Amino acid sequence: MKSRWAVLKFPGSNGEGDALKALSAYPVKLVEHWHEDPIQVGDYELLILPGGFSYGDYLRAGAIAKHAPALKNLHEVISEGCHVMGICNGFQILLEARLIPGFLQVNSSLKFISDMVDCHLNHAVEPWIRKEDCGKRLKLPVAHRFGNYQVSRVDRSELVAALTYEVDLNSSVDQIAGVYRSIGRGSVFAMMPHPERAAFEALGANDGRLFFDNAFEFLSERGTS
Amino acid sequence: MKNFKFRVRVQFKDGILDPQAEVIFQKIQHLEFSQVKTLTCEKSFLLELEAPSSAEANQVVRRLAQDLLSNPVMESFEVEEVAS
Repeated sequence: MKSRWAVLKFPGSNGEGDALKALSAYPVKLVEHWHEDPIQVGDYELLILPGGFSYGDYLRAGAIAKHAPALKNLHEVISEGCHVMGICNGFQILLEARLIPGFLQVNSSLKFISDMVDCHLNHAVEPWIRKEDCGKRLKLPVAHRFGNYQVSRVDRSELVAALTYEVDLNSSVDQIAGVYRSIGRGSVFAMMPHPERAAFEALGANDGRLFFDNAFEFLSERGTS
Repeated sequence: MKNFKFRVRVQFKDGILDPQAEVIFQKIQHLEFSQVKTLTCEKSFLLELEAPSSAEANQVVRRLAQDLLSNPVMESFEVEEVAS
């Protein structure tokens, strides 16, 4: 049976097209999932919360999206084996939903940063980063104003700083670009860089494919793809 | 059921970067209002609701402030009843 992968779409999302395009390279059952439709345990093995400005970033980035019917059972859905990647605004939604501790505040420069940045893979995290990838450097695009991630030492105990910037980009604690948390049989991987925008050689940047290649391989080996 | 009106004020906790407040404060300094020593920004929400009592209305508003209007990780909130 083909693995079921989905990209969640909110009003104001703008990264879902790139994510769908990046994931369309794999022989899986891929769907765009509208935020008003609930997600049940077992619906998807892999779920992307894309970048953009869900609900116009009104109130706080991600604050309204976290109450979407699609996210109502997300903790249980993940516990039962779904792997979630939250990209940029998706990271903010995961924070608001308390699936990742801490918060994102404005970049210390107070500027919107749109750039290609070098990132470092630090830890093996299933299904996204293999042991042999640790130490690799990826060039990934970032586009954010609120990417300055802060989290207390206590809350960090359950987190893995899987992806870091090579330089101090925005004053994120320990130069964190992406954090991973294992929940039951699933996981959440929240990151500010956009791997889905660096998934094709024709774009001049395909380092982001590493995460999706690994996820496909891992889920295939597990027998779900 | 009675009608009640509540105000919820949400502001950043100490130590959270608030560029909006910083920029406004800088402009105040440039305008030579040197008497002003600090400035913080906050969001204010005015709600009207129906409830059996003021205490129950207060509980509902607090739950709403906790769940949606504020992010308790980085913001604090105050709830006050205002005259209808």
